[in-house]
Amino acid sequence: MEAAQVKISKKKDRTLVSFTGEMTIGNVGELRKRLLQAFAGGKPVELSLAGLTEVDVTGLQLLCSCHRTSVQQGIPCTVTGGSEVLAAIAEEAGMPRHKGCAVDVDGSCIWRIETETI
Amino acid sequence: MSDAFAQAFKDEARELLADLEEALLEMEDNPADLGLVGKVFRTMHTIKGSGAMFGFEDIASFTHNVETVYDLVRNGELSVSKELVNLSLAARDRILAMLEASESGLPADAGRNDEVIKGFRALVPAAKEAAKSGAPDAPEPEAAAPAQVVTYRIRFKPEPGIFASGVNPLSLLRELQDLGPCHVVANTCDMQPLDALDPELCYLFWDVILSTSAGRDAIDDVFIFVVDSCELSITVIDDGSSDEAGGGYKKLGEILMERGDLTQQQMDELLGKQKKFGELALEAGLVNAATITSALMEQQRVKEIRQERQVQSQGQEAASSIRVSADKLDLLVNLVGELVTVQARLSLVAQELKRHGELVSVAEEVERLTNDLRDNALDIRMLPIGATFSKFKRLVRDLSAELGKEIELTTEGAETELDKTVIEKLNDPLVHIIRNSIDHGVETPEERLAKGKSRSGNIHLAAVHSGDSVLITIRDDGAGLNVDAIRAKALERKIIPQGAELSDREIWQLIFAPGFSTASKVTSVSGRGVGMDVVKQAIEGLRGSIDVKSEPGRGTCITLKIPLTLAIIESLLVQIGKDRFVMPLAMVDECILLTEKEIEQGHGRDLLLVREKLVPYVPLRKMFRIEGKAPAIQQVVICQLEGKRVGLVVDWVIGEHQTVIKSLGRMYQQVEGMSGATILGDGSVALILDIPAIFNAAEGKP
Repeated sequence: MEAAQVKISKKKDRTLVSFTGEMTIGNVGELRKRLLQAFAGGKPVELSLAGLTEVDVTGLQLLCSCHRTSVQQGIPCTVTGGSEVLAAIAEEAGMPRHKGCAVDVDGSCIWRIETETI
Repeated sequence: MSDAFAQAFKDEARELLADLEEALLEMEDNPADLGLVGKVFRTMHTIKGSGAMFGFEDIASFTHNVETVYDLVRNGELSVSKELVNLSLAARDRILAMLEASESGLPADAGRNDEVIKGFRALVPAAKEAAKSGAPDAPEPEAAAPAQVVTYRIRFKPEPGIFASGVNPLSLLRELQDLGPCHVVANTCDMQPLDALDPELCYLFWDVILSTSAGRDAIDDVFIFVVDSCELSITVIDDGSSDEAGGGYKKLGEILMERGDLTQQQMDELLGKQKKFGELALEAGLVNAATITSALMEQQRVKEIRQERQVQSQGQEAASSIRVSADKLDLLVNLVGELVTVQARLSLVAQELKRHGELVSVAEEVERLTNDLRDNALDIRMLPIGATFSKFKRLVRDLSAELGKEIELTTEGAETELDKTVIEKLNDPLVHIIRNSIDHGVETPEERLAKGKSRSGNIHLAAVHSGDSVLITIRDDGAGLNVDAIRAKALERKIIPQGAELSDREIWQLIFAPGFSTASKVTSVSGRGVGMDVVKQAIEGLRGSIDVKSEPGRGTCITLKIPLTLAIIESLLVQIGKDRFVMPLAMVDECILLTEKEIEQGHGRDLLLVREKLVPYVPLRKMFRIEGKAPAIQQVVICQLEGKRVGLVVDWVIGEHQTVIKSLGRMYQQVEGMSGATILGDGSVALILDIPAIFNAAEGKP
């Protein structure tokens, strides 16, 4: 398994995190570390998911956790390039919802159906 | 077992047998149509199944044998042959015979059943037969009633370490989705931010609302390997039986409480605040948004399914019909008849008491309603003639085979509706006419080829509405009526006097004379000289008429004109002296005045010149020997009778009248010239004139 399937590029106004390949139990530990680094920069984080080929429950949890982190630390976090694969799996796992979770006070939940990020 | 159920089975079986016959005949024409084979199989299967259920063991076991053969046909192991169709038709007749035997209490002829079954066995390849008879009455899965769809709420909360044991919750969810319509909501309330997250643990848990007919066991099977490493609760939230209880669906709070996400106390506190419950619960932080979402979804889902079910059951109701015994309908029509009579009387009274404006308007309202009621009541008894038509398919098939002819029956206007009693009475006359066409009309294939016609003959049966009547046409493309043979036969039988000069049309009518038959030999089909005269009697009994047209070598066409109903007719009310009579309006052409001067001009013959044409008339006053003197100006009602115009002289024509036909008592049924009676608005009785009979009697006089 390739160690890093994530690329972090520091832009002027944001930190872009681009994923490629899998986001599954095999590499979520690694991905979590990289994401922590991305948030550590303090700039808004953009998660680009277009390159993902496979996601499992741990992957979905990781994305959800990113959102929690963003709310907790006050760092905006956006998701771009949602793929069909990801959307189908999120649907199966019952992630999409009309209203975000308890911490989601500003409606930035990445699973919100209105936002159509996924 | 209740008789009512047995009767229901018999009624159903009769209908099924009629369908079966139709399907078999169709199958004979299209042997490759597996849809028809399937239909025959299903019909047999239904007869067998419900027969066994209602205690008709003989029918069930007999039908089972037939069904076995059709199973082979359906699977393509046996092909549809003429022999198979013949046997199947015979089997259908045997089932009917068994049904009838159970009604009369006499045993059905078991020997003939065995013959038919033997025939079927002979069709089945030997090996198959052995295999089949080994397990004759194995329960058939397709007979099982579809299971009720039950909706479950499943809360699936895996242990955090579940991924370590290699379980993928997604695949479990997928399995659930395979069981039926499924809504999944993931609860993210335990999610941690990245710094506190152990990405290899499971933080999510799921609420699933599943509607399935697979049963609880199937759901348990999904979780069989994880049941020890998760919290699992499966609750029935809708099983289709609780629709009536309150009719509504559960409130969100109730669902949350049921799930254990909220206590009664917590809910009461929240309800104290006048806000949307979901928002309240969320704001109070007692439950998280995902819990609300999933609860809302559950509510929505249950609501949807109940609505669906309601729509379905409404659909079924709308499409269904009820069985009502014919007696009840007859009673209804009789009562409506009485009502029409009373209404006529009411109108009369209202007319006399004109100054009571209120009464007049009530009478008019009653008249309108009565007319609607009458039309509706009569409409209920209307049946399409198609069922009768399809019976004749079988008749034509069997008879033409017996006589070595090839005849095809085509029908048209099967949807034409006629009163049930009329249809019943039409059956025998139609059978006679069709038999005659098959026996005398259509030639053998050899004769037809020699005449340059197509090998197979055609009999066309058509029904069409025409005013308040139905025209039924039976047309064949056979040899046509042989005028010379008919004339010779009529002379021989002394039906017409020697040297009588008759038009073709009059000669054609001779075939309806009693005792007339030109077939030189008596076949099983016709030729006994009873038939066409019976037909004529029956049709006249229906107040109908028969018309014959024929072209030598081209065929014969017999048209029956039948009134739509026998219960209530539009008629013309007339008066002679103090007596009143009614005549069917359908036969009346016009009414003209008859002065004494015109009577004198006839020089003792009852003839009247109407628009340059002589019209014979019958003075009814004289015929009925009504005493008193006729008024100076009488009226002639001119009627159409077998294509001729004839007149009936009466004192006054009163006007149109709704006539509810009452039959005359037994003592009066032999009186010529009367076909019934009716009660008028003032309670007096008027006789209904039988116009054809009156003219026959008048012509018969020297």
